[in-house]
Amino acid sequence: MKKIAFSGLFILFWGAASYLGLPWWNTALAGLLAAWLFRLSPRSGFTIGFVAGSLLWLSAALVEHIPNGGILAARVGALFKGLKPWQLLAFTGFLGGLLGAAGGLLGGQLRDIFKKQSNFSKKN
Amino acid sequence: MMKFLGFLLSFFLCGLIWGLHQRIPVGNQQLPALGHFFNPFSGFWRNAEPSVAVFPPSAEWTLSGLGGEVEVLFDDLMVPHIFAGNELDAVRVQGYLVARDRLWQMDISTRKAAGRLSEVLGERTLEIDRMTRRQGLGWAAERDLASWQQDARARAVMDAFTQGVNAYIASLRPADYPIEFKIMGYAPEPWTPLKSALMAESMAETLVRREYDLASTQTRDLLGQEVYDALFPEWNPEQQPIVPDQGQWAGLAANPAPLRDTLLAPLSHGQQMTRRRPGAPEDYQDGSNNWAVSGARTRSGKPMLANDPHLTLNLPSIWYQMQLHTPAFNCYGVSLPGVPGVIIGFNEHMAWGITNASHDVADWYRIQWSNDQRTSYRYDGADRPVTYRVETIGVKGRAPVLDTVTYTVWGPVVHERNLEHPLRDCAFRWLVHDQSAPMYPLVFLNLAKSTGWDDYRQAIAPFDVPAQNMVMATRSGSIGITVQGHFPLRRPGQGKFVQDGSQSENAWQGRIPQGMNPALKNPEQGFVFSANQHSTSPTYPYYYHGDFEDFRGRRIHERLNTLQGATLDTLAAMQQDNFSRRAADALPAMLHLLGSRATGEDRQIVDVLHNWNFRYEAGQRAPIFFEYWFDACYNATWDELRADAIGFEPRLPDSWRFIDMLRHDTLNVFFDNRETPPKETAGDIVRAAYDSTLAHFAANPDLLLYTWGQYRPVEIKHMGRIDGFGRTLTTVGGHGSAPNAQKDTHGPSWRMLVALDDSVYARGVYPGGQSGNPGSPYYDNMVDAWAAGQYFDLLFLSSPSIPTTRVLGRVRLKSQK
Repeated sequence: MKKIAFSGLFILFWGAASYLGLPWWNTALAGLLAAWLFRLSPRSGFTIGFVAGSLLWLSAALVEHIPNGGILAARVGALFKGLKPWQLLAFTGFLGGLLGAAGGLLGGQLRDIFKKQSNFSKKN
Repeated sequence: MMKFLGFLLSFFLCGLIWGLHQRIPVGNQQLPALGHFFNPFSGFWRNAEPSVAVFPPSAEWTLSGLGGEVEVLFDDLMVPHIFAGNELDAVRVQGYLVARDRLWQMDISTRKAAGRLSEVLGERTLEIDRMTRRQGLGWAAERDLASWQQDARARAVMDAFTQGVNAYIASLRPADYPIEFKIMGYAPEPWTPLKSALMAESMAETLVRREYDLASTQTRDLLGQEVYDALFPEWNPEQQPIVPDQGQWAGLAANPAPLRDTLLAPLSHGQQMTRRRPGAPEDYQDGSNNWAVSGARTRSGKPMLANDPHLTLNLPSIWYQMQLHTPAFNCYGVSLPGVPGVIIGFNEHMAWGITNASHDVADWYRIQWSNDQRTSYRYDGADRPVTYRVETIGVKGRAPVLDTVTYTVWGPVVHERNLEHPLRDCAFRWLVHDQSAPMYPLVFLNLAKSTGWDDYRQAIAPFDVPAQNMVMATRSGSIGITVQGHFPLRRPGQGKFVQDGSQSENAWQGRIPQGMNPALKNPEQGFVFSANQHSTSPTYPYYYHGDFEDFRGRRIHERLNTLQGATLDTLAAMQQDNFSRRAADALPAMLHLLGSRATGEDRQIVDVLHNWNFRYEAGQRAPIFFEYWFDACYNATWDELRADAIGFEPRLPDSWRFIDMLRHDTLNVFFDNRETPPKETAGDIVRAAYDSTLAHFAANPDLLLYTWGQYRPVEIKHMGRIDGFGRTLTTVGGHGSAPNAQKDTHGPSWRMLVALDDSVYARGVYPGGQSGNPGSPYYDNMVDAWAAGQYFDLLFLSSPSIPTTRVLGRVRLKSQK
């Protein structure tokens, strides 16, 4: 349980460092590092990555969207063939989730591989 | 197996992430890369501004290069009021603030003028860039800038403005870029004085690129000179010129000798694109009005001034409001993003406004090549070598395209690459190519310092292109107008048709002396005005021609002539006058010719038209019927000039000329339909056109439910044509022939009214907002008021400490913290 909370929080904090000018796929990196550092399985790396990634992107979007009164979302939605503001928000969250999940999954898988390798080397 | 699936998913997700990094082509457009665009840390969400502006109580910004501290107040329309210690500081802050609000607009406008769109938009804009460059726009900007560098003050002003813009650009991180950069996937580049020159060229292209030399030449060749002259008279006798003959030109120098007749072989018809919509030409590409009335005609006994320049309406708006205050001057008005100073506005002593003078300053000269390689051409009996300018057009995603443009003594051979083009062998002589005066960039800053007629005349003298009708009024009681610009000294009739480029004597013979530019000061009638109509009466001693307006000027003159006790409300109503002289002249003649033809149900449309007051109000239906019927009459009459029948795009007679035939010349031979045996007259045409109008509306019954505003919606498109960033309005009246010359995409881009009372009081509105950011509440906050015909009081402060509730925030700008 603790592992879930800490790895999730790690993704949120590392991901929020994107405000410093890191590239948009930094959220995937956050997921990968979280899975590696907290020794997550690919499955939980994926799940935690998705939940934390979407939470991160959605809340960051809401921080801009709410004080704006939805002015921008209404216009950008029209650019994407009439998407509603809530659909834009949902899509934003989904993209963040996808990144976190991809990173988490990959991190878990790498962990697996290296674990096996280290087991292998111990045996010899 | 599970592991394998896991890896597969992993690969798939990585592929997806790569996909999110790519721009997505959708039809002709490109959607931004989704990952870049949607990430809330640097993507579009970061362009959302608070819906209620928040300024900290004592904000301080750093702007290097300032000579002293500058205070800026932002009012409730987000108009900046700049209080600076000197002119250069004021201009530097202007550059900084206009970049803050309109950076992408400044970037894309100058890219367009320089033929550099393809660098960021790719191959789809390559031909646009190529034509911009082949017309020599960039060449002209370079030459103008070289001239402006010769005046120390002009150069200092341009440099200060440039540094102000660049200070803002340097402060940006990618997350802060205007949203259009994110959508189109490029980054802002530094501003340069050349870009300010390009802004001026771009305005010139909008206003003085018009000529009909090709169409006129081909139409004349088809009809013969005599018929041509009868159909295309240069003077509309009913029009009121801007400067009437008051004896001021008696005995003054006349035109140079007329052109010797040179017979040129007819131009090929080639493959021309048909772009004109069917129907009567709208005649009036412009729609701008301005006037000043003396105290004799106002309730206050003090002068008033009105100006509404008409342009293509876009978001972000073409104009940006600001107040500039220094110890030497205090002015308020609208500026062009990218150009220092205020273009249309007022100071504590006087107000000024502009409309396009609409003279033709673009001619074509037929080149006689000396050889097939086209490396030289005949000129005054000798061979003269061409010169080349190589244009390097950057194209996103591929190697740059090199385009070699041939230049002759006249100018560039624009259409040389297009083997089918009728102007392939013609060089382009355009006044915009001539170097402008060194003081040109100071014109509007000097106007801001003017206190009366003499200052004003001195200030505007270096203003050469694009020529404008510059109106003025002062608090001390004077009014006046000058048709200001550089006007070529032409031989009578010169420049209407393609000319022979092998003789130097066919060139313009210099310029009309500045002192002879038409002007009018304090006339007895108590008003001066312009509406893009003829500059003078035909007795003006110099020959000129152009694309002059025929109806708005007459209407405005009628109203000014009877104006008594005017207030700003009276002038506002005049700006929004939807009465059309064109309809008022044409419709009674058409109804008369129709006679009692229509009966029973057929009277439906006629009854609506009988009761029409000739006003294109948004809620009316009559304008829809009239427009259709009038166009049908027009098309049927000029069947001899149908492009598909004659093989080229002809010049078509002006509406006023056609209406004149309907009223006074109903047996004119052009009313005859040559494909039918009987000889038709105007009555036959009008009746047949009425039948086809009835049939049209019977076949499209839903059109009967439309109002004029819905039938002709007003579209304020985003400059980059981005869906969702523009506005469409269905409640706006007006027509190109009415003072409120509102067309579908073209209309009053700024409405200003100034009362030159004991203090100056002004109102204004434009269809947009101060911010260029679609994520700002100030992006389009004035659009609805504009559409409803309302104005805002313009906050004109004499000092930053004047108490007012309209100021939302104050910022101090310092060179160093």
